[in-house]
Amino acid sequence: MTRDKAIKRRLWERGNHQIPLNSKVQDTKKETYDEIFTKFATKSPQMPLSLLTARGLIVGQEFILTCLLLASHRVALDDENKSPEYQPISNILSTFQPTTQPYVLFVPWVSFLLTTAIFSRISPDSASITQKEKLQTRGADSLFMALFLRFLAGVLQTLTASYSSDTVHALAIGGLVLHLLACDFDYANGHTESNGVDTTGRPPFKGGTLSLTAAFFSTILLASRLEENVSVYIFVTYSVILFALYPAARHRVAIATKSKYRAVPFAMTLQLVFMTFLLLSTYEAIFAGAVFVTLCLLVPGWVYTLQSSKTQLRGPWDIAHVS
Amino acid sequence: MTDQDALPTVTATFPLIREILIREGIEIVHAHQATSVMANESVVYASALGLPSVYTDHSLFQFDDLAGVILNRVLQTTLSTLNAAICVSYACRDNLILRAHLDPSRVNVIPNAVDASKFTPDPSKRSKDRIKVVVVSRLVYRKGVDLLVGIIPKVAKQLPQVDFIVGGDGNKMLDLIEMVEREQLQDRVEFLGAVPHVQVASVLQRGHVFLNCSLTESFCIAILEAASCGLLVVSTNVGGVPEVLPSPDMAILCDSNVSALVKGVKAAVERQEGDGDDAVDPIQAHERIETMYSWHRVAKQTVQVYDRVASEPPQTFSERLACFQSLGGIAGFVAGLLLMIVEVWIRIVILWRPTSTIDVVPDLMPFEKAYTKDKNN
Repeated sequence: MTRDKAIKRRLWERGNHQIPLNSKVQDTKKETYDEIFTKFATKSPQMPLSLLTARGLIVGQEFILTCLLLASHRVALDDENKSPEYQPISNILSTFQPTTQPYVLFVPWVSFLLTTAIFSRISPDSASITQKEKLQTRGADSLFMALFLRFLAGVLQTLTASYSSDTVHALAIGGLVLHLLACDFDYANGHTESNGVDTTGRPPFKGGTLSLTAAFFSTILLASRLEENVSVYIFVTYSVILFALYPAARHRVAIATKSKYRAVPFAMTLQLVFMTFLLLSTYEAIFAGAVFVTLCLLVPGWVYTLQSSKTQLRGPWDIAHVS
Repeated sequence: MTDQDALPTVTATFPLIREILIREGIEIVHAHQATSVMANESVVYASALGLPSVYTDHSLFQFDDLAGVILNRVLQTTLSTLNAAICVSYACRDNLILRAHLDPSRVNVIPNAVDASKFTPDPSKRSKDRIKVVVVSRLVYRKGVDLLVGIIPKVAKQLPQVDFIVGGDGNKMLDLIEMVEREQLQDRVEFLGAVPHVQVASVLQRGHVFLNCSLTESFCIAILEAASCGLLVVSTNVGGVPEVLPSPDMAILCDSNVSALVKGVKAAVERQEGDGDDAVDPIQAHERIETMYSWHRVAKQTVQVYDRVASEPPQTFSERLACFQSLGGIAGFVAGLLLMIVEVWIRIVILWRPTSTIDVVPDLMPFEKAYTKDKNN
């Protein structure tokens, strides 16, 4: 008789009741639900208010970026039309002479770009390619993109030109709201994913692809309201800089200013706010400012007061994280 | 529900299930698997029809991801009128009680078992000069394939006498193949692809050490099958794994990181090579598993649960309503409405398909006859 058959016959001959039970069913521990709950409940780590405000600052900054896009679209329309149907350029800007108005807009924009550029260079370069190669690829790419966009501007403008203005405005605002909701704020705050070293000069976009797509969706819609190809080109390039190129720089700035230069992200947000408020009328500026203050100060304060009442249940069921 | 095979409607399947319950003369409804729509609905129907219900939970769920939050809420609603629950390990029991807000006195632990006659050791199939480490699992993230990708190169470098046998398939298979290509380990790592369950025993019999790197495991039957075939098990110390095998004589438990698992594999290999006192004797290990784990024992314990549950009186409507409303707040209100909809639907279905039109299947082997026949044997 083979071994398998011998085992089977032995089990069958012994019968069910002779196999020892190793745990009786009634022998469960007499615990109540609350005892089990307190055994596994832990308080989540309490975050300081400064950390919460820094995180809220990024959300506020993203909101200001969307306001900036909408305001610059209005400026582009006004530049073209100068018709009484549209609102005049903001009350704040109109206090300056018409000849100095472009420079007023120019100064905060340049200072913003300079701050970003300086502080993103400070962070340690984790790329495995040399700086010179990176400059070459980036330079060539930007020149190529500039030329390409100039020729594509005409096509992009006609893509949604047949939509009615109401549809365009509603969809554009919806797209920007989606951009705000889906934006990768962890990346903006300087958390890196540990996988992948930058081996080529063209790393993939890491700031959230849904948010980027939503932002570009809104720009294409808004660009279809403009008429001159040059305006479309400038507007689309503006949006590309703000939504496609800026997040990576912001990430590098966040990493560089984690320990020193803590005030730099704050300064950058202030520059953006200043730029936006120049282009908005007083009431709009007050409204945008109120939303910004809510996002940056009130909401973090609320989270700070509530976080002590959060309990987490940690136990053997937690999936171990592979580092 | 997670695979979107069916959506819970709580009314659509009721006529069919009621017909089955009446036709077969069902007295206890036993459901499995938290993500099964049919299981959740059957427990609700059973209590509505006055039948006791039992639920067995097989897996662990998290509390903080979105899928876990939603599924736990659904489970809390449908299991509020449950009579008894069975879990496969103490970790699973704690998890189920906290997830579904159950009364701990109704939750029992009945560990799984293994069919030891199918998983017998065969020392003649083992190679004499190489130590084989066997990995048989689905190659997905949950089973810790990322850890395996880190372990294999390190072990292959530090222990030249060790070969790997990897059975199973999944979406992480590519990562493993890429790693083998990168480290040039084609002659050290053997891929078997998807192994049908009948052939798993023959794969296990070829090995000396079984490696399990799961990131979460409620009760790992795989390590039980491996121990039954006489292998020394190296496993991550997650979930219900420490409750399965006596460690350190039959299993080496490690933390869930690459370095700890590499150390564990090294210790296991040192024990298994040389046939010293430390090595696991396959026949003795098999006999130990045979006495510790058998499906007969599981059946006996389940019958004890059934006996206890069958003696409880059926719940009245107000008792069930109180159970549903104990969810609290708006959810309790909605659950109460749900219960009333189910009650109305039951009356409609009874009018539509009266009980007298359903043929009851006669019992071919009545209970008394079966009992006396067994005694004579």
